Amino acid sequence: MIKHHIHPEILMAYAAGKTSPSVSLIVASHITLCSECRKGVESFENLGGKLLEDSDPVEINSSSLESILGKLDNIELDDQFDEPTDKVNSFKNIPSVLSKYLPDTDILTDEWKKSIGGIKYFDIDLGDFKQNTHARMLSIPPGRKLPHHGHESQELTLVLEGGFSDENGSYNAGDVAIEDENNIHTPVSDPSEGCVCLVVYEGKLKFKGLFGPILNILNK
Amino acid sequence: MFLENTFETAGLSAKLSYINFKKEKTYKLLKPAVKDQELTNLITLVATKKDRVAFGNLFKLVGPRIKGYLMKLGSNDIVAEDLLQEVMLTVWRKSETFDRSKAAVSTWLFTIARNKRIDLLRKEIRPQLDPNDPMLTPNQEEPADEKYSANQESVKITDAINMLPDEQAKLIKMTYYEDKSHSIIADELNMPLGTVKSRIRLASTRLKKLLEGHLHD
Repeated sequence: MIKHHIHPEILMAYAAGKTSPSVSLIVASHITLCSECRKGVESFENLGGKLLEDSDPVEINSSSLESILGKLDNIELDDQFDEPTDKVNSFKNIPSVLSKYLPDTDILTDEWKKSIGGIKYFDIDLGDFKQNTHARMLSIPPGRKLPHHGHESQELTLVLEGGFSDENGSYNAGDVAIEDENNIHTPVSDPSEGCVCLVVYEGKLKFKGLFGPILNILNK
Repeated sequence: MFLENTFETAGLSAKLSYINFKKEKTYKLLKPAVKDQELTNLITLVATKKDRVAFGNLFKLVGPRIKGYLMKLGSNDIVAEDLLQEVMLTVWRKSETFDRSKAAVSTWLFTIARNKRIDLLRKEIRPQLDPNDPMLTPNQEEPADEKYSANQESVKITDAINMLPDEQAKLIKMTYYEDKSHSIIADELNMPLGTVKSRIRLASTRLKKLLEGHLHD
């Protein structure tokens, strides 16, 4: 049962096509697991349809239809040569929209980078680094306390396996934790299962704890 | 020249449908989208028979509004025409995937136009829900009397937007129509950024409840 959902304004921005690739990734992954937020996105897409219907019509160039009709034959030819879709990783507990961006291995974290304290991570490059948005998979061993950290901007965390808890509550598979610039939190991973999660953040994480300065350097 | 005549005919039809749209506009917020059934029929003909006449009629009915929508989002005439062509080619290709029991034609077209814009104009990846993912949780059970109906849905959305205070409705429309960040919207409306953010949050939360039928929350 999912207890922590994505805010409606993010669902709306996703439906309107306004979210960055990394935020779209976490929304698409969450709504695979959460029927309530999926319904929310559908409602906001219906609203988009209604607003499209309501747009003032603009006259179309007189040659437009002819030119489209001329392209239909080529499309039919092209479609005959459509390759079957690329190989798809499938990892238990990972939505397929997300697993296709992960290294193709037998065990989920096999090729992830190792960090201190048994933490492993994998950065997903969706091309929005320059917009200062980052998507990172994290695998945290059981009962690990993450350094106290704050955020320059918004951070979204989707739990995929295990869970964690922080000052705001506990989060299990499918839950999304949303932190903004006003929060500083100290998450602790589930004492028996640890935690695998997708974290999407804008700006830099600002670590406040004892190892903060070192982590901040590692974090670029 | 033969071709020019054909162009003119197409232009005339576009003009005629333009006039029809104008006439309807007065009622638009009061009555459901009457054309959904007609559009659905045309898409069905395209999907099942690859019917080019039906496709042409569909184009004449929806093209001017899709173009209007794209231009409202900031595309100039040439770019909007190119995108519109891409949208219509996708409609041709994917017509079999349109599921009338789940969404209105306008919703389907909106999602195609949105994705094409992101793909071709912003040149960005858009990770999307995979409808065939085995991990997909089942949909929430709908009561039998709440089976999907495009007309009812359209009335519901109109009511929901009309129930929002003007300022919130305006912010919602700006989110969809204009390719602007919150800080640019804040500048234009002469509001602090924090106010814009919190009002969009308020408006979207309220709207989600209204759209899901919780009228009194």
